[in-house]
Amino acid sequence: MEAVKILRRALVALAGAAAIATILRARGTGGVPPQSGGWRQISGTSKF
Amino acid sequence: MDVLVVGAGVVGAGVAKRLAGSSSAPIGRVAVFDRNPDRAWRLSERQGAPAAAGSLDDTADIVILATASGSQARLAQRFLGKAQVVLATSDSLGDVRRLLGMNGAVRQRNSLVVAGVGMAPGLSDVLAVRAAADLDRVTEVHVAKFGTGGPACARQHHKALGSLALEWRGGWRQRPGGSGRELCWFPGPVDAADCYRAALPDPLLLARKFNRADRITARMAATRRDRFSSWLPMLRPPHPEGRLGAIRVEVRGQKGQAWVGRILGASAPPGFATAAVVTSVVELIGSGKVDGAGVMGLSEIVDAGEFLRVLEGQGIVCEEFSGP
Repeated sequence: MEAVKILRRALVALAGAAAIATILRARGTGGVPPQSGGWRQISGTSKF
Repeated sequence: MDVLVVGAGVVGAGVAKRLAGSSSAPIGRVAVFDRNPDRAWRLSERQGAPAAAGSLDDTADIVILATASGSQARLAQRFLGKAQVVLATSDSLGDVRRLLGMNGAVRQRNSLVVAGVGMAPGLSDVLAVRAAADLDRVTEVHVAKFGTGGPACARQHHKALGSLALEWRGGWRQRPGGSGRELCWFPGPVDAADCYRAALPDPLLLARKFNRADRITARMAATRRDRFSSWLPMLRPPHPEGRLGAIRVEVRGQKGQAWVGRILGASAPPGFATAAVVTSVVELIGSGKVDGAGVMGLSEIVDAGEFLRVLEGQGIVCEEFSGP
């Protein structure tokens, strides 16, 4: 009986974690990645 | 100006080749010493005059230490009083710590030992100073590097990842190597790479220049396999020379009332970049633009703008990251 109880608890915990992950995954919009900027060459005398 | 290059590996050979062909520095003789005499002899034969095979008993105006990390403090000690300037390329935290500890003895002889003359530390420190040039206050400096030079450099990186990292957070703190993952964006073709804490000497040298900063950190790029195997001996022999390398320096601080973040970087094979940095320093010494006595970091002895201009002539162009 003790083993079944532990197994049931583990399954409930896993199901809970999966549900939370699904919610977070579905809510994340991702947004738009930057469309400008990047690396540009500078020289020793370049001004910022 | 006579130069002795100790070590004929990727960096030593690159430096000897550049110096032997240099017309901008007043170079007399370039002697190359390696513990494998054949290697030094072959290199000097290939370069021709002014390069020649040398010995550790040679006297020279400038001695360049391009040996494996861990041996350079002892070698610098050996050349005290025999050379006016010693340039140490080691990126080992232990080496740099020991070199800085020799400051009193070096000052007494009115000589100059430059610790960390390479891509990182070295160019990274100069980029940090360049990035901070117009800031009123620097609060944070973060250095990241990607790639390794020759086999000795690869072994040192492996060791650094498995050792305790040193960080400045208003005081020195030790953190486990391989911790603190951060995704860093390097100049192309490297681009994004996960970077981790490691036993790197950059914070030690940067703290001398930015002694009022709140945080100074250094990270190196590594894979999951690198992290997992860092506590073991290297599982396979390192490659002869790393073809891909980059550094990235992020400086944060205040300009007037505004908070400013600035990111500078450079991309080149690490062995190639280190040879270019060393040759640029020799050029500046030859033109009388480097002065000082004691043990110092590269950013303490050169003017950042001037150094980057000379470095451009050696084929390394630095870049700035500008966000949207």
